[in-house]
Amino acid sequence: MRVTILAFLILLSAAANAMADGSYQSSEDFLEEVFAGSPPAPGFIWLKGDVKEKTGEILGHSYPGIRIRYWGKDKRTAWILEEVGKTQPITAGLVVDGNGLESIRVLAFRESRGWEVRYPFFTDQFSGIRLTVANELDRHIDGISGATLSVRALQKLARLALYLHQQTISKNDASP
Amino acid sequence: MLRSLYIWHRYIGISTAVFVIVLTVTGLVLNHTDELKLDSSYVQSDLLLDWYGIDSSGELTSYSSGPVSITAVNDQVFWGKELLPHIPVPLSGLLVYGDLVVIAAGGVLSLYTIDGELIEKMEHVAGVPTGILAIGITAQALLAVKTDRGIYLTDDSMLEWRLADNPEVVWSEATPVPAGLEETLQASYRGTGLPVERVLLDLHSGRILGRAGVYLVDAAAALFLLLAMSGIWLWARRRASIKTHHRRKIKPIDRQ
Repeated sequence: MRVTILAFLILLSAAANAMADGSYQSSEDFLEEVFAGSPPAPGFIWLKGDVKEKTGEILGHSYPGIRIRYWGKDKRTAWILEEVGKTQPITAGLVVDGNGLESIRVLAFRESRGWEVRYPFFTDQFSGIRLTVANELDRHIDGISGATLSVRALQKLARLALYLHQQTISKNDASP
Repeated sequence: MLRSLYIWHRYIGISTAVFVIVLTVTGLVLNHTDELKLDSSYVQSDLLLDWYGIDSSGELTSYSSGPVSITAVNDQVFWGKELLPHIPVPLSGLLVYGDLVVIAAGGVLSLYTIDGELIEKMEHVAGVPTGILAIGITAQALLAVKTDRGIYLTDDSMLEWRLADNPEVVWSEATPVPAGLEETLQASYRGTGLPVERVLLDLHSGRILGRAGVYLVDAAAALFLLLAMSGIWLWARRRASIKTHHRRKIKPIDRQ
């Protein structure tokens, strides 16, 4: 009995370690999946002036870079963004359309704790979420005990993708 | 027996006092890591840095192009004297390319403005070949990257990369560290190598003293347990003794 419990604990610990640090999907595979095998050429958002300021407000710090790449087709955009949870960046793939956030997926998680944010029970909460006029999410997202910083990082990325999507739409509308 | 336990309880209390203070103070402070910015504040004490073996005596790798010079000190990269975050190592090249500064490091390209502001880290998803070993420029002002699959060229849009057959390229090569910078960078490296949070965590767990420290904190935890148990037992015995004494005192009255 003791041996069984010990073996179970060792297996549990090994499984937790395996899930704790890793890449779950490559950026290329994510884009292939989102655009059914034919991702469009990337576009760019330059973080200048008001966009830079709002981006900083959403993240609580300036974005590492002044140009963000996105892939857009039929008013639907995909973003691959990073935000630090506690000490390491979490890479997420986000898809936004006219109805709000279509999906959010953790592509790479490098922290030692909080990897539960990659599971659908958490990420499904973001489906259809929109931005308020104050650039906040219009719905409450239930957190996960022990993963507060990872949850916060994904909430920030969801807000950022929704905000940047609005900028691509207004940019396209403004273009002749 | 009771007297002996009192003595033991007292000795355990005195001998664990230092641990109680250290664990309480470090625990309290660690509970407020974010507010106190412990993970972005760095230890400057030479004694502690030496204790952790944070040594900047490794080889420095430097690249220069136009007015820009970058230097890697172990796993950190500096733009002039400033620490450059978000850059992996090893460094494999630097080019001022038009208005852009292109750095090849850790197998990927990073684009900067001439003032040192990061524009974008360009990885495979940006269409950039993976496993970049060197960067250079051709006579036609095309940007070239060398990988173990061959040499790829692109123009200043950097959107499309094509494999080229033996193009003539002037490759970016390592240069000596700019004069007077070596000591400054080594001091900067040490000064940003050890977060305060790390030291507090290690103090809390005992790891600051290595494996022995962990066992020491384990022993202290066992003593805390003994202290609590002996305290409860002494309290219970004393309470029982007081009750008995009280009962003896009131019994003669009951008989009257």
